[in-house]
Amino acid sequence: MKKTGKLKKAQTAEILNFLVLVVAVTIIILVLKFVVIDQMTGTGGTAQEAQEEGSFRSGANAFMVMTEERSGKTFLELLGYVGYTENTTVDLGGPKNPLVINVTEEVAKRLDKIYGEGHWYLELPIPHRSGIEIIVVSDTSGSMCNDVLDLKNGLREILRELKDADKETRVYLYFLGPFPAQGCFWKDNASDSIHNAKVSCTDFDEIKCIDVSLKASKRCKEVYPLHPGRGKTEEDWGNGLACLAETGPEYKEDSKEGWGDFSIRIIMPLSDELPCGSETCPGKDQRESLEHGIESAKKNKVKVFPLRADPCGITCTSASGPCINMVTHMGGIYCNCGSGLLVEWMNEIADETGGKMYDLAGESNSAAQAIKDIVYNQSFERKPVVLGSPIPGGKRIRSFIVAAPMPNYDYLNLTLKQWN
Amino acid sequence: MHIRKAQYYIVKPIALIMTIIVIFVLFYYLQNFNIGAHKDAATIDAIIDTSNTLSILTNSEDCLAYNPMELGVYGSIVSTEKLDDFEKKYKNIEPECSRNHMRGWHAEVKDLMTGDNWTFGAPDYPMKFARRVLDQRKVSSMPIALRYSPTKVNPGRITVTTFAGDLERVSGFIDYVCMAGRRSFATYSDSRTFHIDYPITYENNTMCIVLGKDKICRDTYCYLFFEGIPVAGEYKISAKYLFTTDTVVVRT
Repeated sequence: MKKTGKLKKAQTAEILNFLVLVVAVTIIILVLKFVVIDQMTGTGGTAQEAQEEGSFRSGANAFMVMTEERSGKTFLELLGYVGYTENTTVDLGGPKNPLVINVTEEVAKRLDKIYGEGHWYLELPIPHRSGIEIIVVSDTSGSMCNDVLDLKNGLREILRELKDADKETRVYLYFLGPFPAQGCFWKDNASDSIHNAKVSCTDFDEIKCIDVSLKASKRCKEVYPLHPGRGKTEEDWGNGLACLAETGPEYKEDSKEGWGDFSIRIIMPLSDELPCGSETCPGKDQRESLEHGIESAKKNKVKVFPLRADPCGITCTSASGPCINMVTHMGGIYCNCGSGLLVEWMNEIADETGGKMYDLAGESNSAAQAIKDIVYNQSFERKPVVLGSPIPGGKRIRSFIVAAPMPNYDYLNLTLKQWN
Repeated sequence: MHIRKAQYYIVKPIALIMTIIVIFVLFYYLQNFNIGAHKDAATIDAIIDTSNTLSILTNSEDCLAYNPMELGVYGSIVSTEKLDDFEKKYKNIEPECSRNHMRGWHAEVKDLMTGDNWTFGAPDYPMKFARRVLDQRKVSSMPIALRYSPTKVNPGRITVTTFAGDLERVSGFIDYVCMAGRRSFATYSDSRTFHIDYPITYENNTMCIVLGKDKICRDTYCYLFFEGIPVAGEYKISAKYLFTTDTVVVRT
């Protein structure tokens, strides 16, 4: 009985020994498989990944120096232009020999070839707007005196408020000619005129004010040498804003010209008549002047916020002379046109350029307040230009950041991403 | 009681046999693991060598890179003038600037805008021979910029195929002796042992591997005095570069 027990024990021990051996061998094999072999495979994967990373960087380096065939410019330069102008199409020629390049299309064509379609993403940040430049281009005919006076009285205070609120805003006043003295604007200070309404640039000490006649303006002649309607009347705000959209403001202190880099560009025509006057409503010159304004504003990324002055009020033309009721004057033509077609046209130019019309005869009864409202409603942020495909999830994404030079000697950090 | 004793004597040998089997499985696995590890290491080497060949070709001014210092940008800009030159000079051999003495390689460069292409380096093996003759064959490519002029730089792609077999190892060794001798302006000699599976012939600067009726050939840098290797086997090859004649004498 005792012997049988011993044998049974020995038999069990034998089986246990074998089981222990099987477990030990299995553990050894598993360790080798999961630790050593995976390490080896990992090294292979790393080598492969290093090769793919090198290939991606090589592509990015190559892309930086590639040139656009017609202009000979590198794509890095062209993307710098895009960032600077906020326009994906750049014209590297001139008015006589335009050389228009669709940069985003050309970039996509090359990156598709380098990395394959659907395997890359490029983001070009557009510099945020750094300030607001507002040009008020004002009709100076006699009926505008109260509105010009309002500008004179209210603008300085509004600008002080904006400055206190850290809203970097520059306002430039352009009074449409022809000069000398016309309507409510005088070339020299004439504050003793009727109702103290006549103004000159000396009234705007802290504001850049330019008394410019479109007819006399060299800058506008250069922009529109052949346009017949240029500076035809003191109401020609269509051509006036077209000229200013092209040339930008004229700095008073340092004689610099042009729009500032990355500023929000705004032009506010202030008038109670059609461009070139409401004597004919509508007329060919008037429509041409408006279209001119729309075209130039859009081309130069200028938002137009027209200020419609009241065309139906009482206008006094001289200290001694009678005051005129515009509702009945000349059969009511100024009042009717200013209440109908002028509103239509001012809304049209605002809609086309991303602006808004302010009706000074209605809710917005002050030009200066309208400026404040506009400044508070502007967004300084700009969306980046994005090319390629959306970045997929669950993939290894390679990334490369490169500085693209802009024409103003600043740089933009563009990001290129790629995946397999 | 007798039955239990008999049972014990049966279980013991069975356990012993099973133990031997398990140990054998472990041994077999370890053996396979060793072979697998060697293969993996060789594959990794091949990937790295291919990658290095690509990098040297595109980044070295001695190879295809366009004067990177002048542009202030490093790498990936390939001069088309150099490509034209390489295509003429290196039809059946790798350029010295990126010679790998253990592997042969073939390169193809393509302009992605115009479709123009350039090829140079040792000729690649047709697939039917590649599987039979080569230990490793790797293809790798990377995007580059093709510089025709300062204002014409197009996107391109360079593809390098590396391969290693008897012919590449033997010619690599002999080319190495030739290059070392030329660089040192002196007589230079070295020897190495190779296992050869297919006959190798040499005639007029061209070394070939004989695959039945077919031959795969490549050029050598130096003129050789070499009678070839007519049959498969283990060979110790000695090569001596003679500076005075700019030739290599090869003995097996």
